[in-house]
This record gives sequence, structure tokens and C-alpha cells, in this order.
Amino acid sequence: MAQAEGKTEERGGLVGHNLRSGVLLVVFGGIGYSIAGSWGAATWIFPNVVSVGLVAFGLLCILIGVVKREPIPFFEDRLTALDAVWFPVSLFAYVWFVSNFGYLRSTVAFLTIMSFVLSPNRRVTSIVFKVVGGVLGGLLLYFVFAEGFNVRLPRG
Amino acid sequence: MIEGLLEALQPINLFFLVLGAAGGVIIGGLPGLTGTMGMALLIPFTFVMDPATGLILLGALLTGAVYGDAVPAILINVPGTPAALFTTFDGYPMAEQGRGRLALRAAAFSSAVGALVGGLALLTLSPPLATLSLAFGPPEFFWLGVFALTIMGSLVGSSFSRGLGAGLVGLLISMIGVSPAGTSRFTFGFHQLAAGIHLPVALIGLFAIPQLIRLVEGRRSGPRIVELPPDAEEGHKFSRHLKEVWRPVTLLRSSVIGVLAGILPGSGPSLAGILSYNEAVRWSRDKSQFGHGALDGVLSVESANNAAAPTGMVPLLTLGVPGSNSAAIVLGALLFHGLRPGAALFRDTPEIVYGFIWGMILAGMVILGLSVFMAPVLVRLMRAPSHLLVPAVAALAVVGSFAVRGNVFDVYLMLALGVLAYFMTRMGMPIAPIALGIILGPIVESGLVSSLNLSRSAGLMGVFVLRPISAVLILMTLASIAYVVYGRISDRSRELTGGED
Repeated sequence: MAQAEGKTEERGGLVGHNLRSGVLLVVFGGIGYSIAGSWGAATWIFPNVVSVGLVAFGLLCILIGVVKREPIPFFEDRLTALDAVWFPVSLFAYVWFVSNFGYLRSTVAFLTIMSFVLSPNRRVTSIVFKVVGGVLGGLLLYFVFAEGFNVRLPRG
Repeated sequence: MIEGLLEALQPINLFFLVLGAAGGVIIGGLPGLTGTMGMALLIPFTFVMDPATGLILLGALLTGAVYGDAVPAILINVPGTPAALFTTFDGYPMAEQGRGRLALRAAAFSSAVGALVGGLALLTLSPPLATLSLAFGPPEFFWLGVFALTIMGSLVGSSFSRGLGAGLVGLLISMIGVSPAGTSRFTFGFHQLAAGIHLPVALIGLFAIPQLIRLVEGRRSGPRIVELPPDAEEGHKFSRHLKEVWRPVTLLRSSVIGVLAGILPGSGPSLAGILSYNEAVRWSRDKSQFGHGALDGVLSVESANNAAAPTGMVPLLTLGVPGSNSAAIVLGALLFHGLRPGAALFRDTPEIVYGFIWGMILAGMVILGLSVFMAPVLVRLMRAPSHLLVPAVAALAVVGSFAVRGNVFDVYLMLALGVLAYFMTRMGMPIAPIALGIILGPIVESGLVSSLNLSRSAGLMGVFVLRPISAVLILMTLASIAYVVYGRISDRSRELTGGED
């Protein structure tokens, strides 16, 4: 048990929520401040106030993080980290396909592939159901938005 | 007010009211999906509707979802949202004891009472408060925005500095586009960003995408569902259950707590549930029952959080400042239909605003009716596998954000904001303040710039501090910060003394 706890701590290192979010806030504030500095007076007042606030709260978070020393791993395990990468990438890829190959074809493919990838069941009957579900789901979304709401969906 | 009731009772509006309430119960009942997410996904659908119908649909969905949250809390010990956290304390033990159906009906009944009390409070408090908004000038709106951000940053999430930092990130994002002075800001060469980030696009990204990623991560560990025994086995029929849950003192006390907590920007149903549960324990003669299946535990939390949902709309409808995520989404829908919150909304379009409020009250009655036969459906729905839910919701988020302006760039923007929000939650930062920052950004900025212009003649102190409403708002902001700092210090000292208190 103690060994397991030790391992978690090792994986988390010395970095916790406060330290990570502090660095992120300082980065955002720094970007905001450096860009806003080149604008005219009427435009920069608010961005600069917000950017300085971001840096200030970022530094406060870093200070709390250093004092508290709260080692928390960013992801619970490697599989979770993998999910947090592949799923957003697949969403971006889906949108790219929508704009290049059309909404209907891309959505049918996305629904089918995604339900297959996320499902633990790999039987042939289950695959057939997923394909049918993907086609029906894609058609339903297409007709609701294209015909019902007159949205001009990409045709590819 | 009567024209609003008549508007809500129009057949088309009644149809969407029932549809919204049923959809809300289902969305709230599905672990991983939230009412806010459902509302965000629904916004594009409301664009083609009459404003009153669209708002009634959104309000009914919210009311249904606040009740729906209790279902997974009772049956699988997983609160649909933080607001239902305290429902798990007694709801799940009740289900384990074979009283799951009673717990679900208690949740539905108390939700209906809460929605009724909250709706009536919204109906009576909003018009006079909206008149008060006429006394608000730029400095007051500036401080109101600062107050709303401070209180949301301090109450949502586990850290004040991270919560407020998240709010500032939202303010930074709100500046993308053309400034009030007419120059481009933070567009990074993308001409599509010149018009800024459209609110529905941001809301879909912030509330749908992180939730989907979390569902993908959690797909390997399925929840354990407690089976509901048939009515006969549980020994009670619906009418007898109703008699058992009729506890007027608990229901009224909790609803009033919910009303008060709901009006406070940034607090809403979660705080209402906590306060009300604490009070239920304090007033109870048999405190030992709480945490082991006390009916009062479920009644107090559910009536309070359902009363807080409608009154969360008070700051939005009267002052134009959304005090909750759901209010932010309603604001998006109002602005899209060319309606501005405040006194003018009540004066010029009473049928829309009162129709919306009556819609929320009626939705409470509808969920009571729906709960009679929806319990078995919900149990079945909770088994809906994530491999079907995730792709369907993702495809809906994509087409919904595209439909806002018919622009693929908006969809990329929605995904980018969603991924950013997800990684921020991984760092312990809450999402709600980001959304509030995006919405309040223009209000706070125009308030600040106009006040600075006014201060050339009246002086900085005269404009920012010495006006009565501004002074009150500054004091409230400082008080909320002091409350949080005091709370953290006393928590810390309690930890150091080993919890002796």
C-alpha cells in the first residue's frame, strides 16, 4: 500500500494544481500584456488590467503551490492521458473531413468508427449494428439541420 | 403577468415545454451529461423558433435537468452535477434499502415544489429589481461585473485564486475581436475572429467538449445501478408516497433557502443544496438518520436546488448579469433574438419574459407528472453505453456550433476552447468562471472605459467609489473575498488541530 502511494507521488512529482495553473495564468497574462502594449490608449486599458490581473493571480497560485507542495499527477494513468489526446485529435480530424468531404459522409463515418473504437464489444453482429446506427444517426442529424432548420451544411 | 401565463399555455409552447422537461430529465439523468451542456447544445435549435417558445424550451430543459440530476444520485450514487451531491447522502442509502422509488418520487415532488416557489419568487422579485437597473450607470455595471466574477470565482471550485484566474482567462477571451474603439484585438491574423467569439459557440465548446473527454476516459469503469423493485414490492402506491413526502415545513424552508441562494450570482443550486441540507440536519429531531436514508435529506436538497434554478435568472433578467451557467445560456438566446435584459424587457416584451418564467413554473408540474412513469425508463437510460452517447453528442456539438453562423472556423474554435477548458480542469480550474468572464467581458470593459471618461470631470473617487450603488457593490465584493479567506483559514486551522471543532 505504502509502495503504491510512493509510486503515485513519484508520478506526480513536485507539481500540483496550483503550480500548473499558476504557470498557465502567467503565460496568458504575459501574452496579453505583450500584445496589448502596442495598441492605442483607448484599446489597451482593459486588456492590460486583465493581463496584469492574470499575472498577479498566476504568481499567487505559484506561491501557494510552492508552499503547499501538493504532488498531484496531471493524469491518473497512461490510458487516461492517451484518451485525452486521441479523442480531441479525432474531433479535429472529423471537422476537417466535414469541411473537405461533406457533412453527411463524414458524420456517418465518424459515428460508426467512434462507436466501434469506444465499444468493448467486437462481435460481427455488434459491428453491423454500429454501421446501421452510424448511417441512421448521420442521416437523422443531416435532415434535422439541413431540412428542418435550413442550415447549409458542407457538401464537400 | 397574465399574458405570460397565456403565452406559456399556447399549444405549441406547451408541446415544447413538455418536450424540454422530458429531455431535461433524460439529460440530467444520464451520468456525464448536464443540463447546462444540454442547454448549450439546444441553443441552435431555438434560433428558428419564436423567442418565447425558444426560451420556454430552455427553461423547461433546465427545470427537468435539475430534477434529473437526482436520478443517478439516487440509483448509482453518482451526482449528475455538484448540485445533487447531497442527494446521494440519503437517496442512495434509500435505494439500497429498497426504497428507491420513494426516493425518486420524493425528489420529483420536492423539485416541483421548489420550482413553484422559485418561479413565484422570480415572478414577483424581478419587476421591481428590473426598475432598479434604471439607476445603474457605467460604474455600477463595472462593479456588478467585478462582483459577479469574484463571487463565482470564490464559490465554484476548490481554490479562490484558481477560480478568479479562470474568470480572468474568460475576460481575456472576451476581448478577441474588434474593441469598442474600433481596432482589432487578439485576432492573430484570422479575419474570422474580427467579429469575436460567438457566445453559443463558446458555450458549446466549454460545456460539451470537456464532458465528452471525461466520458471517454471513464468508459472503462461502469457504475453499479441499484435495481428498482416493482411498486407492489416496495409496499406503496404513488398516492401513498405523496402522503409520505408531504412535509410542508421542510419543503418550504428548503425552497426559501434555495430562493435566497439562487439570487446570489455565482452560487446557485449547489450552494442551495448544501445550505438546505445543513439546515435540515440542524432542525431534525433525529439527526442520526441523515446519511442513512433520511427522506428529509432528499426533500431538502431537491426542493432547494430546484428553487435556486429559476431565481438564478433574477440577476440576468433584471440587470443583464448572468449569475449561473444556465443563465449565461439564456442570455445567449435572448441576445440572439435581439432582446436585452433589464427594465425594457419587462416593459416592451412582457409576454416573452413572463412566458419564460411561467414556463419554468409549469415545467415543475410537468416533471412531477413525468416522474410517475419515467422511473423505469431512466433506469434503462442510465445503462446507455458511452460508445453510443459520446459520438452522438460530439456530432451534435459540431453541427450545432456550425449552425450558429454557417462557418467551419467556428467549429474549430469551439473545439479549441473545449480542449483548453478540459486541460484547465485538469489543473483544478473550474469552467464556469471562464464562461462568465466571456459573457461579462464587454459589460465590464464598457463600464470601465465609460467610467474613466466620466472621471475626467467628476474625479476617479467620485465616479468609482462614492456613488451609493457602486459603494454597496464594492462592499459586497470585499465581503465575498473576506468570507472566502476566513473560510480557508478556519478550514486550515481545523485541519491543523485534527478536526476538533
